[in-house]
Amino acid sequence: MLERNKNIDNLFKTSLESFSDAPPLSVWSTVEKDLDAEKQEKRVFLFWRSLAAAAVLFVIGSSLIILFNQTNTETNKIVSSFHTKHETHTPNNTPENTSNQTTTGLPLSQTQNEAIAYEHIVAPPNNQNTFLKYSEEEDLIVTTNPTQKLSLLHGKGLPLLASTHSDLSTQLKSKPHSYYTFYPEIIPPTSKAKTKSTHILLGGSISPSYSSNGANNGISSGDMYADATSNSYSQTSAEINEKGLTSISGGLNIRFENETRWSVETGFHYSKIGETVQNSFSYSPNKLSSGSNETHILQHVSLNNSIGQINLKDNVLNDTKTTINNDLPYLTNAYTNSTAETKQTLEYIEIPLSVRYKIFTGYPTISIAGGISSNFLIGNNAYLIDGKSETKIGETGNIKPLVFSSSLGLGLELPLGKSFRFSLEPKLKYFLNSVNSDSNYSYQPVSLGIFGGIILIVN
Amino acid sequence: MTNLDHIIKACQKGKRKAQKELYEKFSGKMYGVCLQYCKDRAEAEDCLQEGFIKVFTKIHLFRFEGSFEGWMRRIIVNTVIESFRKKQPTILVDEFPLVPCEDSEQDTMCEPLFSQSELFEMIQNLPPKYRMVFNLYALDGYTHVEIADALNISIGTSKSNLSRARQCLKKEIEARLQDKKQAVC
Repeated sequence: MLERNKNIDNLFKTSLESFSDAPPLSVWSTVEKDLDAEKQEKRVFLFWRSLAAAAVLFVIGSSLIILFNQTNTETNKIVSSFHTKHETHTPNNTPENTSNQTTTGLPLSQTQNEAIAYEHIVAPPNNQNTFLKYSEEEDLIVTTNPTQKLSLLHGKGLPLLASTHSDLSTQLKSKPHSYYTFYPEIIPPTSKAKTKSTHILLGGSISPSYSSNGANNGISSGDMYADATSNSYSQTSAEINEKGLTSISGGLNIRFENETRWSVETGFHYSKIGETVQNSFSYSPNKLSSGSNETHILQHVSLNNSIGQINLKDNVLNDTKTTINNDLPYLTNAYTNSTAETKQTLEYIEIPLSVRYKIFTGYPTISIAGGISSNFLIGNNAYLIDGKSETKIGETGNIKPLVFSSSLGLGLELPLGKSFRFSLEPKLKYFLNSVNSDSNYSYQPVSLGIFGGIILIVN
Repeated sequence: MTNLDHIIKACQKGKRKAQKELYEKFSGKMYGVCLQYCKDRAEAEDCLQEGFIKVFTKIHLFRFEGSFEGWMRRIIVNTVIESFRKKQPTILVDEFPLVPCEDSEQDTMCEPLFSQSELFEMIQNLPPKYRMVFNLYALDGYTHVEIADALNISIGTSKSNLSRARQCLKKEIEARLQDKKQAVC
């Protein structure tokens, strides 16, 4: 039987081996068209791949520049360079000065820096008692009273605890916030599926990000300055300027996708949110400098902002107290420029869980992704900024250790060989609850980041 | 270097003229392969077209080791298999016990009494599932393991389909032989 089967097989094999027939002419025409289309597709693919590479490099480069700048500024300390009066003070009580440059760009020695740090603390002469009294109570005032503020005489970079002048404080009002946040996302690389239909993708991504308060209402001026009292200044105008924070974000993602258009992903992201606050007002020192009609512009650094109240570090309080006790100059000049401001930052580790849907599966692949994230607080810092110098002065009080956020992204992916993909994804993130546990503060940041990265297909 | 090698090298550089030359040289034979596997000419033309596009897009992978025609035929057959699997996602046929042939039958069926077109017609008349397995096994030398893998069926199903295809062909050959004998008488 086996032999007979072989005979049947051989009969057909030998007879049909050379079998041929002329195909219709239309077949070649179709082949030719398809080859042309293939060539065009290759060109488009190359274009998109180059574009994606450029975009990813741009995003990573921007992130590195931001990171570099942040590193530089955080090593600086406050240096005042607006005054020529030099006084020596006890070094133990002075704030450390790590900056090597004044605002005029001239390098300073350590001794010079210390001297300058104690210079030109200007306070109204009629307010000496108030100032001192206030300083002595600073622990209670700073940590419990929302009306307290650090004040800087314009451009000098030396904090003075704010006095209880009602005119000054009550006029400082929050402005409506409009923030734009960019934050990087960790883009995961791809991987093969454990089964035939499931793929695992791992990715890393980074993004410059900008975050700002999404809630329209920060703290109200009434709450902030409720205990303002005496009228030592005759205030004429006041302004608070709260700005969002530019930083970098990034991390790692893992995605599970199958043959359908849906996929699920999670990961491990780092992000930083926060704001900078600058407030100033002008006043007529009619009750401070007798006989003077000059209008002075003071720079006050508010401790009580939309994100929450700054709890000052002990050494900052001591420094300030010493400064105030030793240095009570008269306010004799009018200042017109100041860059002093506070910055409050919150750093989070984010664990996202999101769903992605491919809306276009060609080149590039376009998808939309949405989900929620748990954000665990890992950093809480407040800084005082004068020009390019930045000094840590404490942290924001009552910040929740865990907050939740939602996100929405539009992802573009381009294959880079068989195992890699370029990824570029603008992503919007919104905090679902306030970061501050105090009901007086409603700070729900919105951030926008453009995440660039590479995805590895694991299986 | 043969003329074919020159054509292949030019095709690897994407030269359209060489691609056309290669197509003209092999399209007839490859069309014949497609006709053996497919149920009609329209389906064979689709497979031929798709197969040649694959040949031209993958030709840079050909290293001049072995027969180019064999390499091309393999691509065409794989294209046919893919097409077949798309159209018939389920298994070809359930397994059934092999039916032994009767010993009394003679081997005259193997004699070359049939023309190429008659044999081609017999294969065309096979049910698609039998035709596919028979072609792969008898004409293209696939093993049952390879067939099972290519068509996503079990080895047993492959064997039973081959057996049934042979039985069908044998019956057809016998019937035609009978007709020829009667015609001679």
